[in-house]
Amino acid sequence: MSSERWRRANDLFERAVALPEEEREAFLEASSDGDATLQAAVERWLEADGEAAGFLDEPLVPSPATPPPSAFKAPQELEAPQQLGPYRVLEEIGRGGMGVVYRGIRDDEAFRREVAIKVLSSGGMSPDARRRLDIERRILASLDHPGIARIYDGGTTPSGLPFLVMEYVEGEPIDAYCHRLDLSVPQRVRLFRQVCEAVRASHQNLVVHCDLKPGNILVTDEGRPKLLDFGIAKLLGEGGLGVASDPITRWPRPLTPQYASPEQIRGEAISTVSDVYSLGVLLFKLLTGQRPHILEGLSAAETERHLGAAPERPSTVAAATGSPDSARQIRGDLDAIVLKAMRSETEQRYSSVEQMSADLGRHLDGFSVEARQGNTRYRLGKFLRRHRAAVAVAVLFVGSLSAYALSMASMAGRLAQERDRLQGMNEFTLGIFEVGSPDDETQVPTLVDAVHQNVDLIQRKLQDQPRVLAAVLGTATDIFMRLDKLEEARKRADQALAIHAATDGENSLPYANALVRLGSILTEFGEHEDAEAAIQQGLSQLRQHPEVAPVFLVEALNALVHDYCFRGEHASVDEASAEAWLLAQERLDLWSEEAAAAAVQRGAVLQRRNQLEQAQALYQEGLERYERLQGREHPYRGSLLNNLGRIYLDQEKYALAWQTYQSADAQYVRAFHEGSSYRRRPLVGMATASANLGNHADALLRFRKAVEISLTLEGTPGIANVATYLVDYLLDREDCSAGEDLLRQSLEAGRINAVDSDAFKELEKQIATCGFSPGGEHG
Amino acid sequence: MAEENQDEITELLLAWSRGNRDAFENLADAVYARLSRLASSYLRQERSDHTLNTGALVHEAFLRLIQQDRVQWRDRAHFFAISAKLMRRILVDHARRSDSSKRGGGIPTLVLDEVFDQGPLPHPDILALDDALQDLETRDSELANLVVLRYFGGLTHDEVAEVLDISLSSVARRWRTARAWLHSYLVDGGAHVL
Repeated sequence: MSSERWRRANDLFERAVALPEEEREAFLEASSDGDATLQAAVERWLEADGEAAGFLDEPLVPSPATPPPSAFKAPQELEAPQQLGPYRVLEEIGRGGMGVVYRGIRDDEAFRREVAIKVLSSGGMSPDARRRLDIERRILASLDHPGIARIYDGGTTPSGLPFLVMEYVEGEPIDAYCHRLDLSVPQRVRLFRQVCEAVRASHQNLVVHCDLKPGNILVTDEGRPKLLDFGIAKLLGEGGLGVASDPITRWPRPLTPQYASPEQIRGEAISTVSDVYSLGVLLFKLLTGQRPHILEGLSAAETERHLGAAPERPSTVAAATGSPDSARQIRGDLDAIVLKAMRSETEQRYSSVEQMSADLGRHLDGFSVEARQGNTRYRLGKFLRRHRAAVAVAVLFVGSLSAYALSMASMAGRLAQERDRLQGMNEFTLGIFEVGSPDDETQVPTLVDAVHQNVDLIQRKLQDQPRVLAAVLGTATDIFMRLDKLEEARKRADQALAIHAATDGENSLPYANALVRLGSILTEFGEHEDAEAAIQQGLSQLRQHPEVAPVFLVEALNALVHDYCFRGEHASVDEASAEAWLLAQERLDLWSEEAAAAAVQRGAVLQRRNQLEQAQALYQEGLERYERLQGREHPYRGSLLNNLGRIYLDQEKYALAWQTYQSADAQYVRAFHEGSSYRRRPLVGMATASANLGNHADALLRFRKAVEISLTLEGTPGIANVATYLVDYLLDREDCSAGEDLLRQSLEAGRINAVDSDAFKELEKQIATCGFSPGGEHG
Repeated sequence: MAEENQDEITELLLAWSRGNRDAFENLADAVYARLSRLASSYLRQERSDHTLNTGALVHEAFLRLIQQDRVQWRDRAHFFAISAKLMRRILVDHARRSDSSKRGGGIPTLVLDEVFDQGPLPHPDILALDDALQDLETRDSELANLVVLRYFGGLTHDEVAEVLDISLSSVARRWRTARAWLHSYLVDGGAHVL
């Protein structure tokens, strides 16, 4: 295009635009010299000018001379409305960057309710913006949680300003509340965990708060914290809203730098872990009365520098501000938890709020916290890579065992001994990972070898430290159990029990826990009456200790349920599982592994009672829980999937059943090992589903695998049941030859192990009808 | 900040103000990384009492990057003109990054305050605007410049008039043209054939 023509178009436009609209066309007609293209272009510009009112008017970057853009302008110009929809406006209660908040009341035939009404100051919203606001409001309104101020309603004021109607919360900011009531450190932590629960609920609904700070968390008269002001909340979703974010409209966002995560300040993507950071700052404030970063008065560059640096330990700050008592209680666990939440690298933080809350729960219950385990884990790196599956289990036990250990410590109250014990424990767990440590990949020791070798070594070393030894034996028991080394497990459990009896006495908590542990092993041996007796005795002793952590009770009840299940004692199963689930709901973090386990047990009971819908609901809920638990390598998740698979099988949804069973099987492999006895259930389930789907190759494969696993187990427990599945299937197919080898081995194994059950006699009869050639050992 | 770095930036700035056009590109590169980092941290700062005015801080940050005693400013507006150009680059790059991360399968996000923070009309897609501006530059660089100064630099009409050395009324008229042209470009997805 010639610049001459461009200048003419510019000139024509400038002159035309100065004219009244009705005169423009005639002017252009007369001035375009018959250049239709030129005329059309200018007409288009004029049209655009009409639509472009306000377009680009607000600079992206305001000049230092200009006041902040209208969105942040304090809305003094707003006049208090008298009535908004059904709500009568009573008084102004706050004013902020986004608008004015009034106290209001709805008082009509329907009901009477006090509300807070937030009138937003930027008017003139585009229809699209209004639509988005509506969507947002609806989603926020779905956040129905006692810890979150509800959004009831919304609309537009007569002068065209959007407003939101929210629950009116009377209370004081959480930091002021803690200060006024002079709450103890544990009380503060408990209160804080309630905040975590509300934040978790909002995250579950894919809403990130983005502005968590004391001023947005009010504590009511009843002592319940409530989250307010999701004003800058952000929704994370699958894009179902149909609203793509516009990069340009993202930045001028109000936030509170003192509580904002580094990624928020840097303007990067925000996620749920951004709230974890803010919660870390909040906890810091609640514990110490100070904020970790003092940003007021700092230059921007200083702010930036400050945020990169790790904050001081809360205990150091508490000590410096003259609270030696608090400092002592904060030092260690709480320091570690706060600092982990406040890591500037998002992947180093807790990956969810419930993990942070769970860690605080562990701290309150005297368990060891995850935040302090980082160092040990790094040291295990190499081994972890080699033994991914098996180690997932072992690490799990390192965690739970320290908890077990701590309960004994608080019981005994002898700190020096506790230190030695923990040291011994460390030596043991680390020792496991050091055994051999060959650089040659082919010489990797099995986990069993490692545990075995190490436990004997440690046992010799710890002769004169019986408590330490008992704790180590407890760990070893658990590991052997998971590895299906039942004899080994039983031996260690017996030893541990004897030591606890001698050193702590038969009325002690450690003794009671050791009894429960031994009982659960006896269940696996099929010695159900002895198992029940041991678990019951342990349980009743646990109940006599008021300070016992609820998790131990739940564990004991779970063990009892497990034992009853084997014996078909349905009434007892029902009773024990109901208690465990109730206890879990009342006293445990619902997102903990133990609570999830109790829910699975409860589901199994309901399932057995044929209350399939309720069971299924519990399982679905349980699956979500496990999704949220780190690692997801939980054996109970396998059981959950297994049970769910059974429901699908009953509903004749075979494809779904197969998939679910397969997930269960994979879970068991990860949580235990390739040859785990637990795999037999899902394998049989998959085989049954496949048989119904007509996929006989797969069915046979799975049945065979289940029998093979039984044959490799010590004492071939359950061989009669599993082999019966195989022979039933083969007989149904009228061809036993495909399983002849395994069936023969099963019979042999049953005889060697002197299995003398009705099930085994039934198996013998079945195999007899297969008509194997003579030389078969059945007779 | 390292002394030598400050030195280099100052030299480039002086060269540019002496009329060395290439110096601007070099200058931009030199301060870009630093300014960009600062800018994005200011881009979403506090409201009300602790207001950290985005633009002000960016300008301030830029001021800190140079040795002021060595630079004779014709006027402060002139200085803002430089930072406006840099801001355009920073903001466009920022948008490009968030755009590509969005396309990369990141979680689509929707932010409540986006709705409230907008002015009378939403800001346009910055990448589309940048395309349009590049087109405009080939037709009328002064007009494009005006948009950069006003929109990316936050300069007032007075300041724009001073920098471009045109009358205040020209700024108003030219601005209206630029706005209409850009609007039609963005709506039509290209320039109207002339």
